[in-house]
Formats: sequence, C-alpha cells, structure tokens
Amino acid sequence: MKATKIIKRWDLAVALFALIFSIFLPGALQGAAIPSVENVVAGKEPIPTIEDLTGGKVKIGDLVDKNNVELVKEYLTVAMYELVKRGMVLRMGTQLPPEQLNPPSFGAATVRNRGKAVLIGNAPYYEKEGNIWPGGIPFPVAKNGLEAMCNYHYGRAWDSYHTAPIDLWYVNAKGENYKTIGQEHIYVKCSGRTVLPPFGTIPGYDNVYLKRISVATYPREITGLGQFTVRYYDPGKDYDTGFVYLPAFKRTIRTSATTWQDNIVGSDITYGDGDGFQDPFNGWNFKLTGRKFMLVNEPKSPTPIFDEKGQLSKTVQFDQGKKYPRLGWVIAPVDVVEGIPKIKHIYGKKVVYVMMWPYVFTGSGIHATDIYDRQMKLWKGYLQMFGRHEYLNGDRKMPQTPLSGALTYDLQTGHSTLMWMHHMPNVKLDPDKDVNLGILLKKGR
Amino acid sequence: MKAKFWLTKKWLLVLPILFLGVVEAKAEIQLSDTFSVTGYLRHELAVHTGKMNPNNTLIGQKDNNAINLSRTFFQTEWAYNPNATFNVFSKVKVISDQTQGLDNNLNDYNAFPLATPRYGGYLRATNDREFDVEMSELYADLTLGNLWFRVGKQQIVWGEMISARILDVINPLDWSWHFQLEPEEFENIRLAQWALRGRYNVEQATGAFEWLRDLYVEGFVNPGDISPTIFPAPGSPFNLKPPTPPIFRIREEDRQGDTEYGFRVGGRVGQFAGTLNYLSLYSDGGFLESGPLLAPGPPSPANPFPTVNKYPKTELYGASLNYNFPNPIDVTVTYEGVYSPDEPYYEALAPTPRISTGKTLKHAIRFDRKTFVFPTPISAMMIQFQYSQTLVSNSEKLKSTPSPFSAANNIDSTQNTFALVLSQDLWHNDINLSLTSLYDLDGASMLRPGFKLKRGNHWIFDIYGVILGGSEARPGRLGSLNFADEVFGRITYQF
Repeated sequence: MKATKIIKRWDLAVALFALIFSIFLPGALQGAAIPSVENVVAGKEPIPTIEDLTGGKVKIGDLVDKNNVELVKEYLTVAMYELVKRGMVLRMGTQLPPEQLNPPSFGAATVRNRGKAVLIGNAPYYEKEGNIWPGGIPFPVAKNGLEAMCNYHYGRAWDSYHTAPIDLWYVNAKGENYKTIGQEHIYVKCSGRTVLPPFGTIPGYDNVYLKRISVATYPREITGLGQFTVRYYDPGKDYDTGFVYLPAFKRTIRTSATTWQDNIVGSDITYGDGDGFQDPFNGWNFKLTGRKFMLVNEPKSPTPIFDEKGQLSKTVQFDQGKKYPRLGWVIAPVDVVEGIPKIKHIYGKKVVYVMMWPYVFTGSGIHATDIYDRQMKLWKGYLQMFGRHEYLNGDRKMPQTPLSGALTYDLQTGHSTLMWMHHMPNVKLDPDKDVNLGILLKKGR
Repeated sequence: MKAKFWLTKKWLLVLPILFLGVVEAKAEIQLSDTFSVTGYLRHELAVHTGKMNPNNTLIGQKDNNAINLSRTFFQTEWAYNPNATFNVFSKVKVISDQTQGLDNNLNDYNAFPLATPRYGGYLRATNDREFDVEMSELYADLTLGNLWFRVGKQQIVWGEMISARILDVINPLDWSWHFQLEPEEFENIRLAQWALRGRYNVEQATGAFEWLRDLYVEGFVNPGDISPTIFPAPGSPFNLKPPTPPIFRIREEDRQGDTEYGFRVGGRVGQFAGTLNYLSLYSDGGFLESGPLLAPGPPSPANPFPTVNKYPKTELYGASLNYNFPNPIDVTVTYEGVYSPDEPYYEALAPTPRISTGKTLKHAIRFDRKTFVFPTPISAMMIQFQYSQTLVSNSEKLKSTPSPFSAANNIDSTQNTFALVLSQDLWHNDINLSLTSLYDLDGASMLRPGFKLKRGNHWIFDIYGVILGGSEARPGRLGSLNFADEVFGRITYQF
C-alpha cells in the first residue's frame, strides 16, 4: 500500500513536471515534432506550417501585427520584424507543393545535374572549368555562402523575362505615394537555360550570362532613360559592360560598374539591390551563417495582385497609407548568407535570404535582403513579393510563380519604394533581336 | 503691340486647360489601348544680364533689352503602338513668344524665322512672327526581326559627346530662339528632317568571330529635305550676325531635292565599343560666294556683287571608341573624331567672298565618373571632363567670315576647349544641381550653373545662369557671345 501510494505520487509528480515543462518550454516538446530543414529539402518530411512551428498559436489565415509579432519573430528577417513593429501586417498564407513553384524542366535539370557542379572562381561549372553550368540549381544543399549565392544567380528558374508594366511608387514617411515612375525590363539568360530552347548555352554566348534592358516609360521627362547591361558568366574574369541612353540628349553613353551602387532614379532601391542582390559577386565575400524556416511571401494569393492589364489590383490592401501591402506569408526553407563587400561600397553588409531547393520560386530565388550601412547599422529591408501562380502559356504542366514586386524600406528615414512588377517569365526573347542598343533608341523619345 | 499681345493670345490657354483637365496621376494619357499622348506646358523666361547685343546696335536698337526670352510652349507627343512591329510617333508644338511684347527696347523681329521662306519640309501651320504651330516630328517605326526602320520627320543623333557636335551633325539646329543655351543641349533645337533610317542587328557570331559582339550596321538617307541652320533674326536678343552690307545681292542656293546620306557600323570587342562612320552632308550654315560686279564702277546698293549663299557638300569620316575601367578606377573613357577633307571656309585673301576648303579634324576625349561626393543615400554625382580639339590644315589661307581678312576672322590651326559637367541629384532625385563649364584655351569661357526642383509626377521648376566671356571674341567663339549673359527659368507641367 505504501509502495502504491509512492508510485502514485511519483506518477503525479512526473505528470505535473511534464505539464509545467510543456507550458513554460513549448519548444522542447515541439522540437521533437518539427522536421529539420535538411529533411524537408531532401523530401523526407513535409514542410511545416506556421501552425506547426508556433504550436498552434498562429494559424493559417491569422494576421500577425505588432501585438503578436513575437510569436513569429524567429521566422522573420530582422528588417521584417522591424517593419511589423512599425505597422506592417502579415497574413499567414498557404504554401504550394514544390513541384508547383517552377517549371518541371528546371527541376529535372536540377535532379539530372545534381552533384556535378564545381565552384571555380565565382561561378559553377559542370564537372570541370570550361563546361558552363547547363541549368538547374547547382548546389541543392549549399556548403558555403558563395554556393548559396550561386544557387540564386545561376539557378534561376527563368530563361528570359519581360516585365511590364512596372510602377515604382515613392512613399514618404507619412505613407503617401507622392511620385510614381514607370519602367520596363527585358532580361535574357544566355546560359543555364532549361525552359526555352536553345537549352544550355545560346551559341555565341559562351562567356555571357545575362543581357538586360531596363527603361523608364514615364513620366515624360525620363521616358526612354534606359540601361543596356551585359553580365558575363564569371564576373571575376569579365566585368559588366553597360550603356545608358539619355533621352534628353538623345545620346547613348557608356557607364561604369559603380552604377550598381547608385539608386534607381532616386528611389530607395539601388541597381545592386534589385532582385535582392544584383552586384557582381567578385566584389563580395559570402558566408553561410545558417539555414532555417522563414516566412516568405506566398506563391499564390487568394485574391489577384494584378488586373487583366497588369496594373495593381484594387483588391490589394495596404496598412499605414501605402507603406505596407497586406500580403500572405508562408514557411519555406532558407539559406541565410552574410555578404561583406570587398570593394569600397555604400553598404557595410547585406544579409541575403536565399530560398532552398526545391522551394524556389520562378520569379526569384531570393526572399529578402537586410541591408546595413557602413557603420553596420540596419539601414534598409528589401522584401520580394510573389502571390501569382500561373501556368506558362496556359499549359498546366508548366507551373511557375512570377514576381509581383518588391518593397524596399529605408528604416532610418521611413521612406520606402514599392516596385510593382508585372513579371512575365519564360516568354520567348532573343538576345540579339530583343536586347541591344537599338532597343534603347526605339524606346527613347 | 503690347496691347495686342495681351488681347489676342488668350485662346492659347484653352487648349492646355482642356488637356490638363483630363490628366491622370501617372503623367501619361492613354486614349485607347494603342494610342497615348504625353507632353508638357511650359513657360520660359530669360532675364538679360549682359551688355547690349552689338549686332542689334548696328540695326538701330537704342537701349539694352531686359528680356532675352519669354516663351510659352504647349508640346504634345502622340504615340500609336498597335503592336511590337509598327508604331507611329508625332510631336506637335504650339508656341507663343512674348519677348518683344514684354520689352520695349527690342525692335520688331521675327521670333519664328525659317532659314529661307518655306524652306525644307517644315510642317508649320503658321507664318506668324510671335506664334507657331508645327508638327516638329512625325515618323513611323517598323521592326522586322533584326531589322528596324524609321521613316519620317526625325532627329538622327550619332555621337556621344557633351556640349560638342562632332558626329552629331546630321540635323541642323534652330538657334533662333535660345541659341544653344537650353539645358537639354540640342534636343529642343535640332531640326527634324524627312529621312529614312535603318539599322540591322547582326546575329551573334559563333566560332572564330565570337569575340565580335553586339554588331550592327546603320544608315540613313535624306532624299531632299535639306534644311539649313536657322539663325536668330535681326533684332532678336540672340542675333549673331551684323547686317550684310548692301553691296551684296544674295540669292539662296536651294538644296531642296539634294540627298544626304550616311552609314555606320558599330560593335564591341571585349570592353571596347565603337563605331565607324561615313557621312555625306551639305553644310548647315550658308557660305557666300560673290561674282564680279555686273556693271563697271564701284560696288553700291545699285551695283551690288551678285552673291550666292551656298551650302557646300562635305564628306565626313568619323569614329568613336569607349572603354570602361573597372573598380577601383571606375572611369569611362570615350573618344570621338570626325575628319573632313573638304570642310568649307572662306579664302582668306580673296577680295570678295569666295569659298575655300580645309582639311579639318574635330575630335574629343571625355572621362566620366560617378562618385559619391555626399553621404548616401544621396545619389552619386556624375562628373564629366572633356577635351575637344579642332585641327585645320592650311589655316593661314582661310578665314571664318566673308568680311575682309583680319585678326577678327582668321582661323587657328588648333583650337582647344575643355568642358567640365557636374550633375548631382538630391532628395530622391527631386532636386538636381548642375554645372556646365566650357573653357576655350584661347581665352573664352561659359558657365551655366543650374538648379532643378521636381514635385510629384507633374511639376518641374528649373533655373540657370549663363555667363559667357573672355578675350577670345572671334565669330563663333564663346567670348563673342557675351551679350547673351542671362538668368533663365522654366516652369513646366508635364503630363
């Protein structure tokens, strides 16, 4: 009897201890149920939802604002956390299966070429130097920061894109959109092509990775102000070639690589900030500081982001004037890469959040970038926006997730730039016909 | 005249008010899916701060004018873009000039002269001295794969230099209303001409020629719309010429129907990009050539020299080259040069005006650097430094004007000019500070500081100073223009 009483008291103590433990240390129990990033990207376990990660405290459909942001803080970028505290509201969205995020030929290339990438200089090659990477994510599980950044740059799930219209909103600290600039972008990837023929490398473009045109379409004063840029395969061997067309003078002049550090028509975005990170890699040291689950912008919004003309839909809500679009956010596995510039730079550091394979969106492989000034103080947050899931040419065997825009917020001044982009990836474009100096001339006045 | 000015042009305001009533926030009006219009309403006022124009003193202006320019522009740009293959563009200007209406000290002059009466293919609906309606550009673009054509009244700009026309010599200029002082340099004063222009982008070569990149071939032909430079009319604040002595009876040589053409090839080899150019053009400025007197006796208004104002043909061979030095130098270098074996001048010692030619090389080298002068997030400053040189062979046998040969019109074998242009954007590019400075090593200079403020999508306010001077006062040199010193400002509403 005495032994039974002791056993009962011990059971009660254990149960009580477990109850106290589960209340005050929820992660301890949850930790056992949460899959690792490695297992998720290997396909061994399903990706957790925010509900799984927060133990049910935050569910899909819930709103996260400054009052409950601590519940999801570890899944936000540093800048995002600050923005929520300042008034941004996040809706918890629904992730899609990874095979719905990018064209299957891109995924097939990743699988087919897995393990064959070697990093030489700043670029991946297929088994040995000289063999240009044929396409797909080169390092599905990156071992270092440069490999993770190569996954983003050389593992783009588009072979070309045309983005129009683009509306660049200038939003002041009061949340007023006081100025808008229109743009159009045309990009053609010349190697690593997996969706549009010619696959692999376009003949004649062995050392060229990208050709791009970016041109202002309004207001009238800058209509036609455009850039033509060639990014070579290994930026350590060949630096960018750039030209700018000045419509006020009807002249095309050569530009220098410093342009990457300058802002785009006075906005909060520099040319190097675009898409999360556009600076040539050879000017940076990268370090993989970790990988984790993070809240990234959802691949498919329940309401349209754009209308049939590619203009922002009136259904998109905002908080604090036009500062913060209220969008959906989902859990994805992310490599966290710290970049420190080797050259004289306006920035002291960038922390780039690179989405891990297979959860790579067609529009971009970067979820967000935290940008620090030279005193290492947090300066800007850059967030990519998606929300559009579609089928290329209506073919349901060709899913893709284009970009919808980017928010760049200057945390030190409260000024922000919202770039709404009607991004059309994998449209048929030719590097000779569609991306040349003559195009700048045509689009200029 | 003053009362007439205030009473007769009020209806001009109706048109822009109608347009402004329907503007959208995005500063472009989409009339349909394929048809859009943009443009601006602008008033420009230039306050004269220099001495009286000596060329106007010679024709009776008594007191110095306080105003160099007062002009209102309503410019619309119409674009028809039905598809990626074909589109049409047109620029229509409605301009009112109030300069002489506001300044009693100016004699009557024609604010909208043409080089010769109805000369060239101007689409000008008016023939008024203070009011102008014209379609200054009208062209269609046709894109067929790698081939692109533009046909119509257009500006064709080759060349990359600032404040200098080396390869940019295809279109003549309208110097009549503000000389060359506009901040946009030549954009608002180039005279569009009827021409056919074509460009072929060569497909990227593979194999042995893969090193040749972005290769293109381009050409143009102007089948007969030869149009000279429009000089300011006598009496204009910018009048550049003294009155022609009445002992010359001048007949214009009509170049309408003659052909101008040119072609070039451009491309890149590594980080070097460049062009090779050939142009066959008629001189934009006229050159007088006199014959013998028709009757014996001294020359007089009753017995003048028969004189033809000719536009000699010149052949131009040009090249441009640019290169970018990467970090940490971060400098772009651009070279441009054009050689003419038959550039027209005047024969120095001829008793009456006689055209002669000289081998002439005009070339320039420019260094560009974008540098962060102010702490970020302020934009980088664009710094451009350019050295230009003109070399003339046998210059001692040539002169620049038909006047008797003297130190006032002799030609140097070498003329050197430096240009420094600074441009700094501030406050999210809502403010721009600029400075253009030119220095002629023979002792002449121009300074043009500027300030521009933009508010939202529509309003632009800019103001500039122009200071010309120096001892080098021969015709065509900066010192000879010191009567044009001014402060000018513009208020623009763009849509």
